[in-house]
Amino acid sequence: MSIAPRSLIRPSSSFRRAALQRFSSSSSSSPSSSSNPPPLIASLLLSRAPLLTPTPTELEKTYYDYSRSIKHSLSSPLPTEFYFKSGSLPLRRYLKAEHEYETEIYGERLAGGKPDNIGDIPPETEYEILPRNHWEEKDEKEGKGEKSLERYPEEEVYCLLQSKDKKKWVFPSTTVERLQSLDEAINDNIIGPNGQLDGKGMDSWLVTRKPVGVVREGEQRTFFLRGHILAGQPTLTSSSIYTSHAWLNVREIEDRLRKQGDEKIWESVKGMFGIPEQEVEES
Amino acid sequence: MSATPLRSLASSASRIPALRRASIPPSSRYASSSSSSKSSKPSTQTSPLPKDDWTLPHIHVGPTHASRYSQHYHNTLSSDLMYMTYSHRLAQKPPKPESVQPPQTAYEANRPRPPIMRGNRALRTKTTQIDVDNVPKLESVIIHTMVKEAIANKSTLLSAIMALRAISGETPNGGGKKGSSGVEVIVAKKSAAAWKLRAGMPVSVKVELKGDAMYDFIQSLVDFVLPRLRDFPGIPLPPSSTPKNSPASLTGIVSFGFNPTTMSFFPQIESNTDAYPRLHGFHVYFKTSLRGENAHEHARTLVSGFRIPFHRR
Repeated sequence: MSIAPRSLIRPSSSFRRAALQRFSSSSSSSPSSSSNPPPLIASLLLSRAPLLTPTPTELEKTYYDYSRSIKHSLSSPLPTEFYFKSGSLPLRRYLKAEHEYETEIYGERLAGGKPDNIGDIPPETEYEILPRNHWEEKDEKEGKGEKSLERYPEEEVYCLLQSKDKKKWVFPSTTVERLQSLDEAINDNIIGPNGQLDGKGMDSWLVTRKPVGVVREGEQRTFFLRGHILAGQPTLTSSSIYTSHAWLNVREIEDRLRKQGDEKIWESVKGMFGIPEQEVEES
Repeated sequence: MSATPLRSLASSASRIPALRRASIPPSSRYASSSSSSKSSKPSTQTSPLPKDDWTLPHIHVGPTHASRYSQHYHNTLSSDLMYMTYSHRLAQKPPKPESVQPPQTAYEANRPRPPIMRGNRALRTKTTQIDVDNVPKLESVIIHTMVKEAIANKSTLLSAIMALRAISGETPNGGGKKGSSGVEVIVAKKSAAAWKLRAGMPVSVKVELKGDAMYDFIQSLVDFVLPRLRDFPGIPLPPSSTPKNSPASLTGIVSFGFNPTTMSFFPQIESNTDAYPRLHGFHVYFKTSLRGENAHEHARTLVSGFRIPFHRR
């Protein structure tokens, strides 16, 4: 009972709003250049979050090692009798590792001799440690190239599409129809099951219904919404206006947009990638 | 059972500089602090410094590793949270000028102001304004355990203290880190005759985690504990009938409890579960920077970004 009126209110209020807009546009903006402004365009920034933590630089690594040694020397010793059974294998392993670490940071003179009664310690189970770039190596073998979702595992990568006619790289976008919201347009026409990217093979979600950026070209406005992909990949049908897709990081997007002469688009879009405006040089 | 090791731990909790400590033979290293200062004599004899004038200078201990969940927050979560919680309506509203009255007396000058009352009730909490510089973030995580048996027998608190120490790795100013209060014992504020509780009795234990220690706790909770809970549907959400402006919904604190068996799934406790006389259930409080309207919802959004699932009953 309580749900029914609420669901009734929404369409009627949006209808009223749309009617008001239509009324106001016909009455007030008719003297402007065009009485029929171009439809809004909703565009999607579909990204894959970083999969790995960034590799520490040489400076960071040295700093972490140094802080760890300082912390080790300042902290009170571990009450081994509480945490280990006396003479147990974990205790002997701990004492051995502790002595090795102390020798490493304090030197042999201060670390003292080897602790007694360590005895023989059987080696621990060895696990296979995959290299950090194992995805890249695998995808290289399979020849996936730019279509691999695991490109640049330490960075965020974004989806770009290549259009059929001009061979230009663009963000997936769609026109917004009347009485349609931005997120509806994107859900229906881009990442939905019948959308451009074919949502059936993709696990993706929209971060928010609000746009995160806008690009103005004359009267044409393009609103950007942010989405993430977790798995899968877009499949482009033969009837679509795009030929292929690519997962690119920010530097590659900049390169590509600049190369194809879309510098203006890049300048208006780069804020969404966290790149600040260039400071105006004083002449 | 664990009383002896606990006592020896309390007495050896002194911070001896590494150079002196390392010179102590391993057998006497874990003895009390008084004996360790005696046995450090040979090193002070060889050092050119006068014996008693030398004090440990202030040493800054920086981060010891890149915390995985902290990186996840800064690289992925924070921008999404900003977009999710940003309110265009709030941003367009001009900020209200605060009615600041000059302090009347010297007593008032350096004290926090009492809340401005409207009639009998304090005014509504001010809503946190979200923008690029003020993205919702986790301020601290508090783990809290109330031990009912401690009313009759204080020493039952010891196993809870040790368990929280093992889970959090915090000691007062541990590792030279200022500001970490370590595991604290909480005393009852009020008497409750029905439970034979009198004011001033130690009844519970808590630890507050901040910074990287906080993110590391979340990591062990999310990666080791939650996946192993039996029939765990997620943290129950409050019923939808909860009023939106109730005091609990205006504070950006997300809290939930776990039963005693949960504690045994922490890898820090699992390795020597039999050293603890008993395991305790505990509450976890995620304290966020959010206040006011929608604060609770947004705080839950933030917490769920750390892979903590929620479900509606």
